[in-house]
Amino acid sequence: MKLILFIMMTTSFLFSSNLSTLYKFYEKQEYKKACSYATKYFYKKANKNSEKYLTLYGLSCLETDKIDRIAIPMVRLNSTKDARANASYFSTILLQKQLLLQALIDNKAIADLHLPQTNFVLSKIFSLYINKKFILKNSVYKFQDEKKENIKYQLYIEEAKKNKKYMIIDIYKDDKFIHRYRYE
Amino acid sequence: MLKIDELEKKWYRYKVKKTVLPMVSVVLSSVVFGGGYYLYDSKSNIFSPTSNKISKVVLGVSKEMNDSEVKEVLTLDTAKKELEAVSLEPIIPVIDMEKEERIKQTKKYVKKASTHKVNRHTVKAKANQYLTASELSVMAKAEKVKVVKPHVTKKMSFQTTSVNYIDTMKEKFSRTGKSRDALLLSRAYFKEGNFKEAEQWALSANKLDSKSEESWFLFAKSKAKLGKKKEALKILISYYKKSHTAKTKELIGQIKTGKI
Repeated sequence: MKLILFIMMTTSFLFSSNLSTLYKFYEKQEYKKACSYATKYFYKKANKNSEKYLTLYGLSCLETDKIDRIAIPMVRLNSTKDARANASYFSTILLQKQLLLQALIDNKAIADLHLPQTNFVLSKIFSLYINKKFILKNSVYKFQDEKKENIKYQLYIEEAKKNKKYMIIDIYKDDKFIHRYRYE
Repeated sequence: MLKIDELEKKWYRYKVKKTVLPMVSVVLSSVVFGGGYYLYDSKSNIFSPTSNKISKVVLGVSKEMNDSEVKEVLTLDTAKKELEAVSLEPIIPVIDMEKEERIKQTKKYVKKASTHKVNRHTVKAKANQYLTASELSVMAKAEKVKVVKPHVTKKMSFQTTSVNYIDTMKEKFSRTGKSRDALLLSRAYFKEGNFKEAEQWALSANKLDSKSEESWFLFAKSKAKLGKKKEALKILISYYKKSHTAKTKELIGQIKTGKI
């Protein structure tokens, strides 16, 4: 009996998740920490199969520069209605990012595309870009947020070492720089 | 017999007509309807909003279109609007933190319990006797602390360097007659505990040099040690009125409190 209890206890904790820690990071808006934490403990079976864990994983990494990481939880989010909605959300943003990157680096024409919109900044920029609502100056695209007048965006390509190119999104509030996304 | 053969042939033709003709008509009609539907379906696909190339063409000739085409363009516009209206938002999961915390705690307890369990077949590793870097640093710190310990000053009992110190000083004083020698004798007697002699020598030093602060102090201290505190205080107060030194004030305080 004791042995059975012991086995039950051990197996139950083996399948428990790191969800609470991840949620705490996310709640504190410590997205970088949350993203790396989620990536670190993704290998656990309980986490791999936890819809909540996967969603938080995706949402955390979405706010960091390592946006490509959202692909990992995205493909596993398919069991429930909410999970599928979140998967669509992630895939839309990821697709928009890839298309913008292609447009900026390879001059690919994406003006005729109609993709769903999201509330994420990248998605807003994508929408403004395809609607040609920008001012292009010195290879820098300047956008004005459609809803908030005091918010402005700048989109450009930064060339790093070994011909590596990054897509930069700078956010300005009242003409003051507030945040930068640096996507590979 | 011939009539029977003819009749059989007639019956056969009649049977063929009765069965094959309806079948052929059914097949033909299905082909006609199926083909028509296929054509209609392929046409609607051509004007679907997913194909941007065709939609552009359609939009470009909207003025010359007939009624059916106008309807199709209208449906295209509505479809586009619907597509544009698609907006996605994430659904943030609701997490029962209490439950999660409970899981965490049980996990901790189980971990602790499991660490205590030792298999009898396992061979215990020999304890490492070498000190790790962190342990060494702790040791070094402890040593440092030992060194830093406050230095306790050893109390030295005063002893004259020479047994004949007072005698030689008396001889010296008799030769020179200086107040400094008298003061040194007073100090020596005071340290020996001979307060009477100390008082006398302090007085003689003061007579020779009334400005010498130490002669005043030794005189007053000796008086106080001999139980004449009031006299000692009077002397010091009178000296304080002249000098106004802090040392005098301090000594007055010490005699008043009984420290001397």
